[in-house]
Amino acid sequence: MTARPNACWWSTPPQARRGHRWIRPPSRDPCLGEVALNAAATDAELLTAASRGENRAVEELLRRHGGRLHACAWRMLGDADTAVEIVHDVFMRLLAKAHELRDPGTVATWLYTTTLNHCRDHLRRAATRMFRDSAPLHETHPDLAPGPHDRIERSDRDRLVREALDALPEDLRATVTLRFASGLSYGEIAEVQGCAPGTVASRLHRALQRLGETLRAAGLTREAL
Amino acid sequence: MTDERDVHVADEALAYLEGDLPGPRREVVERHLATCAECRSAFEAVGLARHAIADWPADPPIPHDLATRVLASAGRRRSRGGRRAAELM
Repeated sequence: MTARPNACWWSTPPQARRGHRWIRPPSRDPCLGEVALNAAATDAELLTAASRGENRAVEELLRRHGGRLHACAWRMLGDADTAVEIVHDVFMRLLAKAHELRDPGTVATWLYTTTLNHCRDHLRRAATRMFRDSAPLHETHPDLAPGPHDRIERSDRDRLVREALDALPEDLRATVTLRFASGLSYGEIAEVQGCAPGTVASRLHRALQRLGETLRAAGLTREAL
Repeated sequence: MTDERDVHVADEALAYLEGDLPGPRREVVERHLATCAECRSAFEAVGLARHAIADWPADPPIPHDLATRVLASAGRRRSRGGRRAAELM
């Protein structure tokens, strides 16, 4: 997750070094100038350009991290549209805070940490709403209690897995999500969660054991998957 | 002295299933599992969870216009900031 060591993307292009005349590509903003934004640029370099208003830098950062951040938020929340909004808000925050990032080399870590924080905020707000809205309903409308129809719906495999994941404590769910939805290594997860890689391994183990026990208790077997 | 086969190995389920245990340790774990129902149950639970996660539905694609939306929002924010700065001058 650390910045990749590579040549500066603003350095003189090879053809210029070889003595050819380098025609500067057309600039989108004459005040900023055009930069050679490409896959070789580090996240930190892209962020610097993005904070100056270089649209292509934002596009490249989104291309590089957007999908995995979205997968992370989607698994944490279970709602794809909200996950998109969270990725949008995280990138907005990234652009607003670009100058304040102490170590721009850890842009990816910052992105995942902030995405998880946004997810937690969302879950807390949703839990508060659920508590506020549902308590009176259960008290005043006992006929709304889950019935046979709901039990059939709940037997749906994906929904069982979703519920088992939701039942995990937040830190364990985040570890599972970062590992299996975003594909981060133990070391990268440790950076995002601010813990040792050994703790990540232990959290993953606990999370999967709990998840498996919940699924087994719900009647799910490996044969049914 | 405790026989190594008596020491529970449930904590090693994930490392075992992901093939991260060195050969000699795998053998110890397998010998223990042959006699310990408790650890076998833990291994089965972790295995079931791994299967369930592998069977997750594919991630929904990120909308194509997300970059455009972020850029539009950032542009609006910049123009608001510019207007505020102009008002202060």
